Parts: sequence; C-alpha cells; structure tokens
Amino acid sequence: MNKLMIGRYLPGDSLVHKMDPRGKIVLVFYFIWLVFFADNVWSYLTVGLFTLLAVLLTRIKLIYFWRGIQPAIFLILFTVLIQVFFTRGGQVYWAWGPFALSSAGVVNAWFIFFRLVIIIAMSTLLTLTTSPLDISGALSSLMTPLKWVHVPVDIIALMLSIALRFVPTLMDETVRIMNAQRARGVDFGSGSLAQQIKAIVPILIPLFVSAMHHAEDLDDAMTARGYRTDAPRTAFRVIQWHQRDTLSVVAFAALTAVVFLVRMP
Amino acid sequence: MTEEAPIITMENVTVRYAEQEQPALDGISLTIPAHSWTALIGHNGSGKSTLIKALDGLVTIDGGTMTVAGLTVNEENIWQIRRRLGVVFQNPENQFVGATVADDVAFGLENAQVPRPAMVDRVAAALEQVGMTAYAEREPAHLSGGQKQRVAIAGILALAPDIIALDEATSMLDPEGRASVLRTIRTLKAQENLTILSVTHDLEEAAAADHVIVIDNGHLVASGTPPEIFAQGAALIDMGLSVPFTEQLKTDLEAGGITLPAGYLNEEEMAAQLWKLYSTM
Ligand SMILES: Nc1ncnc2c1ncn2[C@@H]1O[C@H](COP(=O)(O)OP(=O)(O)O)[C@@H](O)[C@H]1O
Ligand SMILES: [Mg+2]
Repeated sequence: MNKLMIGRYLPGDSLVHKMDPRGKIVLVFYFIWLVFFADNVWSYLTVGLFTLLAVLLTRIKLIYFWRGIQPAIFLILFTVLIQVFFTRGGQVYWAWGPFALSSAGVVNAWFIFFRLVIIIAMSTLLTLTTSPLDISGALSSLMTPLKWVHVPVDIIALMLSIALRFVPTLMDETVRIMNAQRARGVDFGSGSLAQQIKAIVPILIPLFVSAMHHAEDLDDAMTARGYRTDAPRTAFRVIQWHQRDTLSVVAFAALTAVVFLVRMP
Repeated sequence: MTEEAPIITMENVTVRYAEQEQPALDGISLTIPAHSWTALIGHNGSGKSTLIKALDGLVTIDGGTMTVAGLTVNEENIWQIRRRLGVVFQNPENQFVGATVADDVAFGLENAQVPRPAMVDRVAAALEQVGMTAYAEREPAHLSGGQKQRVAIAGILALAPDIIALDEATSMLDPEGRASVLRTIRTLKAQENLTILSVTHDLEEAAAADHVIVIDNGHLVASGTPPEIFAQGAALIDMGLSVPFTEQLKTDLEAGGITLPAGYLNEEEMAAQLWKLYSTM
C-alpha cells in the first residue's frame, strides 16, 4: 500500500523538509525555468552544484533520487540521441542523409543530459521532502488570488484533501476486491490485453459503488458537523513563512546572478 | 432517577423516502429527558438511522414536529441544532474528514468559524478527553476503528454539545474497541452532563441505559425502563430482537418449572436469585 503513495514522500526534519511548501514549489519551478538559461560548462556547473547542495541538504539517501530518475532514463537517452544525431556544427565526424555526428552535437547532447537530470532531481526533491498534504495546502494557498475571479478555491482545497485522505482507504478496498475476484478464479496480469482489461471491470464496478457509499455517508457526516459550502470557515492548518524561507529566496537570487554572469555573453 | 425536562421531543413524525411504499418513520411521538441515556433498539431497516437523521435535519420530514434542546427543528434553527446535537455514525471510515487526527477534530470548529488560537486549545482539550493526545498528528490510515470513533467523539466534544447521538457507533468495532468507546462515552456523559441517545444492538448496553425505546417498521412499539422492556421477553423476540442472557435464562428456568420474581434481572440480581434457589434446594 505504501509503495503506491503519491509522490513517495519521505518524512524528515532537514532544512528542506521544513521549508514553507509554497516557497518550495515556487522556487523549484523557478529553478527549472532558470536551468534553461544555462548554455555553457560554467553555467551548467553552477546549477549542477546547486542541485547537489540542495540534495545533500535533504539528508535523504541518494538512492531515492536515483529512483526518481530511473523511470525517465529512456526518455533521457532518446532525447540525448536525437541531439547527438540531428545537431550539426563544429567538426563533423560522420554524416548520412539528415543524420550527422558533430562536435556541437556531442556537446549539446551532454548539456541536454545534464539539464534533464538536474530538473528531475529537483522535482524529486520536492516530492520527497513535501507531504501530499502540504503540497495540496500550498497549492490551495497559491490559488487564493483566483478567488477574485470566483474560483471556489476553498472547496477545491477541501476536495483535494479529502481525496488524498481516502487514497489508502480505496487502495485497501481495491486489494480486498481483487482478492475476492481471485478467489473466484479471475486472473490478473496475464492473458491478452483485451482479457486483462476485462479482468479490471469486476474491480472497478464494486470500487465505484463503494466510493459512492463513502461519499454519501461523508456528506451526512460533514453536514452534521456544520459544514456548508455557502458559509465562511476558519482554518486550523496554516502554513508559516519563516526566516529560512526568506534566506532560500536569497540563495536562489544569488544563483540567478551567478548563472547570468557565467553564461555566454 | 428524577425526571428532567425533555431535551428531545418528537410529535407524530413521519418520514417517507422517495420511491418507497412504506414510510421509514410512521407517526413517531417520543420524548427524551435531558441528561439521560436512552437506548434505541429495533431490527435492521426499522427506521433507527432515519430517526437520528431526522433530528439532525439530514432527512426532511413529511409530517409532525420535533424539538432539540428547546429549538424547533426547521431550516432556520438547523445549524444551531447541529451544534447542540453531535452524531457519531456507524462507519468509522466515512466520518473522518481531516487529513490527520487534529485536523479532523478541528473540522467542526472551522465550520463554526472559531478563531485559530481558540481552536488549537479546544482541539487539544477534546483529544485529551478521549485519550487520543498522542495521536494528534496521525493519519486515519494508521488508526484502528475504535480510535477513529474516539476521534469522531472528540470532534463533537470540541463543539461542546448537549446531546450525543450514537448510530450503532460501536457495531463495526472489535470487542476491545467497543468497550473503550463505551467507556469514553460514559465518562464524558458524567463529566459534561450530556444526554446520550444510542442506537444499539448490544442489549447489555441497552440494559444499562436509563430508557429503552423500541421501534419496529417505523412505529414506536415500546418505551420504558430496561426492566419494563425486557420483562416483555417473548414480545421482543417477535420483533426480531434477541433478549439479554439473564432474560433467556429466566424463560428457560420457568419452562423447567422454576419461577423467579417478575421483572428484569441484571446479572448480579440473577446471580443472587440463583444462590437463593441453590441454598433452598
Ligand atoms: N436514502 C434512502 N433512500 C430510500 N430508502 C431508504 C434510505 N435510507 C433508508 N431507507 C429505507 O428506510 C427504512 C429505514 O431505514 P433505516 O433508518 O436506515 O433503518 P435502521 O437504521 O433501523 O436499520 C429501510 O426500509 C430502508 O431501506
Ligand atoms: Mg441504521
């Protein structure tokens, strides 16, 4: 059950764990944008070292970051190969029709490779150090301005948090239903694609029915506890901005300055 | 016990669900005294849950009037009533709204727009009362059914209600969880001067109540103290209920020609009677 948890969050109390999740999300996205400005060895070295530093600060074993990169490895290799064979420039070692192996292509491929690894490592860092609850809380908080255009931000936030809360419940139920179907001789994970899809239907239907029951009961329970969509509520869970968050913004500003200093004029 | 003013009244209440021939509640009238423990019994589908939901405005009634804590149950009062009457439902899973224990206890307070500093104190106090302080940061997936039900009770307590209604709140729990939840409720009832309305199949629990109300097929068929109700042994069996162990024993003894004093006997009284019989044999 825990293997399938969204985002593979690893609890901890490192500086990165303790960051304001809103700040963390915004800075990670900003960082990804910034990486695209790196265009030479020095600027790549700068963002690369910064990533390494951030990873070390999480005090999470490197193997977990590798597991984040692993599923994307084919995508990375594919992109790198395209870069190698479709970029021309500098010294051309070999050419055939549209394909060519050139010095510029090799250099570009290296850059692309580093860029992808850095981006994936940083996104993995975000999900490893931020609980789904904090991510949903941060996203709701970041969506607050949308209230101005009448987006029901609070309702969306509550929906998100209830959905997350029911993930383990529905997961347990899926396992139970699958076991019940297995006991009746249904075979999962073998046979043709059509057969496999057919085997999923008897899981989905009871799961859907059960989800509807949960929803109906939950509706009563929430109303009984005074929940109404048309009334304001106060908030128990608040996200706090600390000095360390201001400092991390400063660190990213410094990083930006260095990247723009060392990149090609 | 001394009779207190009624805290819940129902006058000829009828509830009919859409597309159902039989009404789920058919002209029910009853009163529940303040600070009492009332057990509501009846077989499945007899309308017990519907009765609780009607009181809390979760189903609309098709006839009759009701009052809860001095307020007439209507659209205008319902949100106030929901703060006076807390409901613990049957399935522990389906009433846990918050992402963690503390968040869940805070849910009702957020709805009542309690400011955060007061909320923090009240959540802590309510968790303390149900003995769940150590679990404040836990997620529901890591709690037992009994623990979830105690969290549900804390969520209600935080709103300082007058009445707690339990709709088979312990029926999905293991014996240990059931005992701990009932113990919690008993302690709280005394501490907070609560009125308890408990739908139950546990006749031991019913036997310990101040009042027992029996409903069958949407009708109120009996209402009285546990001795009065359980003295009707055979009639209860007709209504699809089981009788407490002592009552069963009494019926069997009587079939064997041994007569015991009329009226319901609890286990202690039954033991005393048996000793008396044994020593006179
Ligand atoms: N939402 C509903 N829609 C239609 N019929 C319902 C609904 N809920 C309950 N009923 C019917 O009303 C009757 C009383 O149900 P309920 O109050 O849940 O009984 P109890 O709690 O005593 O088992 C039953 O016949 C049941 O099928
Ligand atoms: Mg019921």
